[in-house]
Amino acid sequence: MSHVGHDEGKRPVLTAHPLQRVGAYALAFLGGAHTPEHLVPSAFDDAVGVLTDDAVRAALVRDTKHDQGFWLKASMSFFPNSKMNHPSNAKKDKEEIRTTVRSWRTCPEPGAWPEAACVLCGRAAVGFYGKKDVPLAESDVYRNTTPRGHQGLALCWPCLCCFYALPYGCRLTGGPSIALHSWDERFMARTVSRRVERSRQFIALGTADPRGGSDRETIALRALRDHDDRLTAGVELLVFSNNNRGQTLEIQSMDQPLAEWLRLSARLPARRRGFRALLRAHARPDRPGIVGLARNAFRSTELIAGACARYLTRHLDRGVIRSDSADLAELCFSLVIEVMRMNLNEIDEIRAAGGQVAAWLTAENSAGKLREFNATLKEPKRMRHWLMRRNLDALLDSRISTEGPLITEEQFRLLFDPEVEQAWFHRQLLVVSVVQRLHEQGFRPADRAEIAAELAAEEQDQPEDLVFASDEKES
Amino acid sequence: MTATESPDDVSPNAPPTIQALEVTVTAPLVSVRNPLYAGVQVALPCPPPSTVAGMLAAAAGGWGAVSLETRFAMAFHARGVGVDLETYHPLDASGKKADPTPRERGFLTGATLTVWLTDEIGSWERRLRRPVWPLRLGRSQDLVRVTTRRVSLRPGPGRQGSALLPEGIAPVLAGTLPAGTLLRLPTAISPDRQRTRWDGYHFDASGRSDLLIGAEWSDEQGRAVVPLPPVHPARLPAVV
Ligand SMILES: [Zn+2]
Repeated sequence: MSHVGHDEGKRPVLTAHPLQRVGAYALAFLGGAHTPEHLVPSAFDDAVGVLTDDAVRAALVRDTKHDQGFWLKASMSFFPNSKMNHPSNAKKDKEEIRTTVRSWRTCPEPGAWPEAACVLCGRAAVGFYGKKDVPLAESDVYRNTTPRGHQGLALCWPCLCCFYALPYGCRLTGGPSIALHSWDERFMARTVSRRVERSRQFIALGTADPRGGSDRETIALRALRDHDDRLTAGVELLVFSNNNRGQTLEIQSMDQPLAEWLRLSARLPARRRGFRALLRAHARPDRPGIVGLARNAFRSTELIAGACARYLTRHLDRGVIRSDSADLAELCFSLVIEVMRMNLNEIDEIRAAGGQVAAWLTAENSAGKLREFNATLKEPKRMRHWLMRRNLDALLDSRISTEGPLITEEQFRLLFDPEVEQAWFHRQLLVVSVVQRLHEQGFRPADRAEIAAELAAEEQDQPEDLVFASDEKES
Repeated sequence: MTATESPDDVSPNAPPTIQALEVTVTAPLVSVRNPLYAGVQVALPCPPPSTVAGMLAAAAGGWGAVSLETRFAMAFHARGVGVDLETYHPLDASGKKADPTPRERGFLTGATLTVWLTDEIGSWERRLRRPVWPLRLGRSQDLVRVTTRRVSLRPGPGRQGSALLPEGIAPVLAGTLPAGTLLRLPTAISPDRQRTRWDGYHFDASGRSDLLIGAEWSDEQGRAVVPLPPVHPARLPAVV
């Protein structure tokens, strides 16, 4: 280990900074390594060489509106006013541009290094850097956030190069960039390497990704679906711009249990049918379900469960149970158990109540009775009254083979007791389980067929959802 | 942590408990910035250990008065979050007068921070009763209210709730992870701010997780009490 000093000076290490970490993986992948630890010093130099060559090529385009100006334009959101995209480049000749961009991307001579440690990894810093080199850092003319005597952030050469490599690990839009981050290292290696492959194409060609950047949350869902291993951490979506007109950063987080549930739901054959229904439950005429699902996933798990419940009950007023109801209901319960970690005994109670209500409705076999039940959903008082009424009916009706009351006291408590914090949610689950059981029991009132045909015609899957739910992967 | 046998617990079968100082810090408004992004003001969902450590050091009168071994366990809960505009006054290195600019800044409302100290209890009790420097959590205009009481901690697992848990501490239930988000937070920052120690922590902002955590200690209400890594800046390695 005699050459440790030299080697270590050329190896990106993973730090606490999400953007540095995305860059470290991108740099590793550009050097042909799977992870930053596996990047050998010569490959590190090669990878930095790729970054520099691409920067020089973009700078020589000079005009962001040129048909090969995409990387030059995008670089303004990462390294504004740098040698790569400085307004004065318009007047410089080619050789001058080459020289200045190369010198900007060259490690300073050790004699010029300040006596400071890299703020991210603690190794010797090679200089001080501001927002021109490090997205979302303070402008290097300001001193509010840097230690005394530092003109900007003290960074070592590998950490600085991670920021230079960052764009390769991002979805580039020309405007704000999108990075997916996780503390799960295997996920990072897999996701960033896929992203680097795509970004390299657009950077090399100087043209934009034809997909644009409109559906940023779905980037996370696609990455989850493509990941083979159990996730050990949640994922964060960082949308940021280091533009001169104003730095912006938006962080959206998805916790590990939800990320893992989404990953499994989109991958496991047993859950795939339910997942298609989940996409349908989130689709709108003007928006694919995958976009709605991804947005809900970053906002709140409860929104996903709510969308399921709404979808399952959407046509109950017409006496219709959709054919995908049972699959979606089952997926919804897995969400409630695995992600929302609801008490299993309580879920069993609610499902039992749902089963009893479904049995009663099946025995009645009337769309009208189902409509009646459906009408109580928005008013707990009415639902409570309806259930109590049916409780009495059921006790008096010999056609119904249920033992004991339709709804037990404990079930009533879970659904209606003001002391039960989640009672409203329990009522939603009751309906989910009623619909699930009705589907299982083949609930088919006489007036159903006509309406079902109408629905089939008006509800087509969105093309984007079909692609996502099929086996075609993003290429 | 050095365990001090509690003289109150004399039942022969009860496991030995230790005495701890439970410090409760409340504030209507708390704002803790993520130090990684200087150009934008991103708020953290809880104060990092370094901030809490800084508050303790302020009470003591500076790090010189604080033992190198100082460790604590903490829990944090905020009732709400919000964003407002603050005037940012750039300090221009060239000596020019820079224009103040409005910037969005996140904050937390109705915050309660609980800190458990098990060493030098009497000394910390005195220091927090009469702090040398004013005590704050991330915003200079908002002071905090501090109360202390002595509690006994039992050995064994406790409920996650709003505890801040060092990465690697797992629920008793095998194969599960603590609820909430994994965060990288500063544990210690050198006085010249050149060096920062970062560690991974699990934190559930909802505070609702009933997961039983394989903690060393739990408090009288069954909450997990997990000591965090040492926070004294003098323990940070020197610049290499
Ligand atoms: Zn570094």
